[in-house]
Amino acid sequence: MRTNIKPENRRLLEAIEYIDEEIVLGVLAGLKDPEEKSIHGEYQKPSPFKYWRQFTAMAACLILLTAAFPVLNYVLPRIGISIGGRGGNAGAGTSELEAPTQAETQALETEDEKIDSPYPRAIDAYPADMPAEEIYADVLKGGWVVNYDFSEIEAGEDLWLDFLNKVDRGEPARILIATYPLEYPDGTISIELHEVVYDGKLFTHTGGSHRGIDSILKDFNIFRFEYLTKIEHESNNRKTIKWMLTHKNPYTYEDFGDEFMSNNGGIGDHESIMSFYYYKN
Amino acid sequence: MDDKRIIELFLARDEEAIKKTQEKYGAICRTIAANILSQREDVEECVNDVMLGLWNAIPPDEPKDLKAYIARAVRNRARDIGREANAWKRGGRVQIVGDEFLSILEDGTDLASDFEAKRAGEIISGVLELIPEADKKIFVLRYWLGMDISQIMHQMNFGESRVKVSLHRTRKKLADELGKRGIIV
Repeated sequence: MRTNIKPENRRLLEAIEYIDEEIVLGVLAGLKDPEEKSIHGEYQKPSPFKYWRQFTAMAACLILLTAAFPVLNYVLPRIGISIGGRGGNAGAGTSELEAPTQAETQALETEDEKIDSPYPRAIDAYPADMPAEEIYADVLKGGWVVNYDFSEIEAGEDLWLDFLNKVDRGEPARILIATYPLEYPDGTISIELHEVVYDGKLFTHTGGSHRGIDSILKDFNIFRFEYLTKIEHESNNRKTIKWMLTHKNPYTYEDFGDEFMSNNGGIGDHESIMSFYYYKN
Repeated sequence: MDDKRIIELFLARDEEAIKKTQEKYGAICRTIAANILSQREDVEECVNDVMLGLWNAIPPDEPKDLKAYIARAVRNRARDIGREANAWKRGGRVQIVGDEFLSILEDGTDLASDFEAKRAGEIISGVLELIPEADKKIFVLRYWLGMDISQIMHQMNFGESRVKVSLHRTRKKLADELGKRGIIV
């Protein structure tokens, strides 16, 4: 947010008062009723008794279930149904959980890993030994064209907006962005976005504008990303960086690590493929 | 009650018109006013003023769209109250939204010495006519009506990123156009 606006430049705000009335009225005519909770939370407060029926019914169910549990716990195992167990156990007179087997434990751990990392790993979609050039060429297949500074999407805008909406809904969405990293004199890293691939479609950044990585992360609530650099004569360079958005400092050389910056013979003369994992806070 | 019937009540000088208008549009009026004014008393005063204003204005006015007519009246009255009583808080929403709009001025740029708000308004209107309908609505909701992002998300059924991207894109187009037309130098 700008804070150093000259007082005389604030006159530009007056221009808003001269926006064509037809435009304004057209928008106002389509206004929806506000949500129940106003911005100050002081208008249209729902009555505390609005949901009394639901609360009463839930309380009654809870009491009934509590009262019935000892009976069910005694009867059901004897007719072959266990409570909380994993089936069978007829006549055992108990409903205690069996200890999971080793295989089940491993399966659960694997499942936990999946939960911990719910998004598909884009880079892992390619074999580890696949040359970066081939991955890069594969990423560039398609034909969507976008200027990433948001202002001049030349084609594929619907897909791009679909992507943004998907992110907003908290659904997994990933994107590959081919970039040129650039280092500023103060040590911060910027990337020049060239090609953007989403859902297998290519967006090409046709402009030359640079955006700081930190600003991209903030714009899109990026929780973490991976990058793969395209290296002319060396092995692929893979790394995952986790970065919380609450961190206020921009990326620096150190954040990326020496291998990212130096393996490629310097800054600004190599290409990268960045795999972004979008995450809604 | 539909708007046509409410307007008929106004035209017939039936005080029931005010009551029905309050019932139907009171919430949206308060929301609009509360986006501009900081004090609840000012919000209530604004809404009451508008209701009285409607009574005095209809007839002779016969608005084609009652909701738009009322929303515009509330916004304008709230702005006037804000100016008269300096009722908006420093650093409050109005200022934040204004600062955001003014970000179309790059560092080192200024308004032309012969800046005319009316001409700039016409240029802005021209740009708004050319951009997609959704972007136009988002712009007006944000900068004319002073809605916050979550309110716009509700109005448009869009996500946060979609709204922010739209505002960013429209501001950039405006900056380009105002620069070409010599408003920003």
